[in-house]
This record gives sequence, C-alpha cells and structure tokens, in this order.
Amino acid sequence: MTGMKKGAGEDPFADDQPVDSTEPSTDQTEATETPEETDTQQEPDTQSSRQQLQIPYKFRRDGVQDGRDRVPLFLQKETKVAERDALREFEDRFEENVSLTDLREALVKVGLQHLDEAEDCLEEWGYGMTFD
Amino acid sequence: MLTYSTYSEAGGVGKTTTAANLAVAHARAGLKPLVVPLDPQDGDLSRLFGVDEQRTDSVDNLVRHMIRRPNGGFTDLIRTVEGVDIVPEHNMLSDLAEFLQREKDQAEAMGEAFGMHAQLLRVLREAGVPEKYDVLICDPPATEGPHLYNAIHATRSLVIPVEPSAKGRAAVEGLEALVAGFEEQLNIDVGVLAAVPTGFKNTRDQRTILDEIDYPIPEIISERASLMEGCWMEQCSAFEYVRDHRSRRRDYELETLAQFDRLARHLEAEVGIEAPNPPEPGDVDHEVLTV
Repeated sequence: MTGMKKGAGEDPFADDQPVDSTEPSTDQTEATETPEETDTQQEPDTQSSRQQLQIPYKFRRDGVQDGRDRVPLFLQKETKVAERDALREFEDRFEENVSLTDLREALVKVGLQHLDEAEDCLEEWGYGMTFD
Repeated sequence: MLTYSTYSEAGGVGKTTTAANLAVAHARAGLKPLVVPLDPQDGDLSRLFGVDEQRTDSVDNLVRHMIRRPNGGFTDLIRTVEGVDIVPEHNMLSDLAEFLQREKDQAEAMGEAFGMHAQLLRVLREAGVPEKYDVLICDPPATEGPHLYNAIHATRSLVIPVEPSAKGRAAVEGLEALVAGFEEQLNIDVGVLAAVPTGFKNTRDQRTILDEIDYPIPEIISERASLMEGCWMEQCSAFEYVRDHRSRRRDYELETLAQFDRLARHLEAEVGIEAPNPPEPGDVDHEVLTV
C-alpha cells in the first residue's frame, strides 16, 4: 500500500486557502473558444446550453472525477513507471500540470483504437496459450 | 488544531464507535472536540450519543448551513454529550447531493463559484471552529459522495479503522484509489494519521494482513463485541458504559479504554497538541475540571 502519505494532511483552516479556490470557476472557459461557437452566437437564448457542449471537458468539470465512473486500476511496476514517464513527457509538452486521471483515460481510449497491439500484450501475458 | 475523518470503505468495522470513543478520549484529557457526523442513514453517531431525536423534524440543521440557508446560528446546532460537542445528523443529509447541486446551479447562473465539496469547510470556518475547538472529527458514511468529500476536504487527515480480513484489506486498497483521486480532484493534500485495526482475534491470517498495512498502527483493538453493543444499547461511549453500566470492571475492557486514550494522545502528538489534563490511560474515574 502506497500513495497516501503517512501523518497529518495539510491544515484545512490555513489562511492562504480561499474555500472556493479548489474548484475551477466557469470563467476559465474563455481560453477555449471553438470555431463553431462564433457561428451560433446569433442565437442568444440557446447560447448557454450550446456553449456548455462546446467547452472542452477539462474546463467544464468541477474536478477530474466529474462525469467519470470510478474504475480501480492495478498496474505492474514497470507499467506504473512508464505511466509516470509519460506524465512528465506530456507536462513538458503542454507546459502545465497534466492530471494522471486524464492521462489514464487518454491511454485507455487510444489503446481501444489499437486492439491488435493490445492483443500482442495479452499474448505476452499468456492469453491464447493452450496446454494440450 | 487536530482534524481528522474516521473513514473506511467497508461497513461495520467500527468507524463510528472509533470516532465516538476518540472524541471522548480527547475530552477526558481536557481538550475541546467537535464531532461532525455525516451519515445519511439512521444508526449513526448521533444515535450512539442519543442526540438524534430531531433528525426527522423540520429543524435547522447542518445541511441548511451547507447550502447557505441557515435557520439560525451554527452554535445553536450543537449538542454536548460527555464533554463532546456534536452537530447531530438530520434526515436532510439523505438529499445532500441534490441540495448542493441545486445551490451550485443557482450560484453559477448568478456568475458565482460554488464548491460543492468545500461547503462543510466553509461553514466550520465561518463559525470560528478552529478558534473554539482543539479537535475536529468528521464521521462520514462509507459510500463515496458529497458527505465523504466534504468531510475529507474539511479535515485533510484520516484515521482508518481496518478489519484485519481480506475484506478489510480490499477496503484499504480501495481507499487508496479513492483518496488519490480525491487529492487530485480537489488539489488537496490528504494524510493518514493512523490505521486502527478493530475486532482483532490474533489469528495468523490477521497478523499477515496487519503486516501489509503501511501506515502507523499505534493500537490494535481486540474484538469487543459485548462492550460495543452495550454502548449502542445505553447510547454512550465505552468509557461511560464501563463506568456506569457495568456491574464489575473487566480488565480486558479497561485495556480497550486505555487504548483509546493512548490512541488519542498519539493523534494529538502527530500535530503537536499537548492535552492539558491527560488521564492515566484507562482510568475510567478520571475527571476533567472545566471552568
């Protein structure tokens, strides 16, 4: 068991933490305009619902778990290390923090488009072997 | 201030009795604890301390404060039992998620931000809890949701009762995944003050499971079904039960009380708090003089 640190967590009542700062507010969406958005701006009464759809997931949610089902993930050590390296790599590319949860789902999504390679991996682990 | 949530994903491992007895142990030593239980179901900490009689009435309660619609002051919510201040649970907790979501939608329509998981922290902060109390204990339900999230957000530290069984082990592993996700989601730092094995019968399997727990285990609480059931029956802590409801004192039960005392001292020491009047561990007749 690893992950959570031993001992006390941070002080929840520390002064430098405004209560609402931990959840992104909706005004962060300004950086996320998409081309379609300008096309539909003439219809003011439907704008808010449309806008909702066009804001990328990362900015729309309250936290990384929003809109996701929780799936426990068990990784072999070398996979975990490779995942950590990939996280660092993406953080360099985007020059911002990348959420591990986002990375994991992205890896799963891409993996789903590459079932042949996934098959190779499963075969390495012994799938398809028969012992007659 | 010492703040923690008692949490375990598995039910029936003694989460609520651990929270209740630790709260009394802190109070016995002269500290002022506030307990905020958040269980939407009956049979909860308020029930254990006998302060749940208004949970179905339309009285002011914590949920109203969390959605910024209080019907009175925060201090009016508080009941004091065995030196412990408690915010009793109320049936509105069953619909907490819905209430919070509605308030959030409303706030966002007005262009405000409303952190659904930070509301308990806000209420406690606005009520001056850190200035008035030495210890804050939250007792959230075992299920994932806004009750648990608000509790962890308001305390940031955990005390994990663990049943030393395969089920208990799975629960601790599940908790790892849950809290890691929560840390990331809300960008807070959560620590584990202690794992508290309960119902220990000292079998080899149990010892193996305990060896695998990577958190500090200051005390291992043995199986004390009769003592704990007695507490529920008489609606009091184990300390009061042994003092007032046992016709004779049993050494093994006194030892369990001593463990709660020592565990409380351990948790206090973890954040640098020194209790002003700590009892000899397990001394049921110890009294705290309050002004």
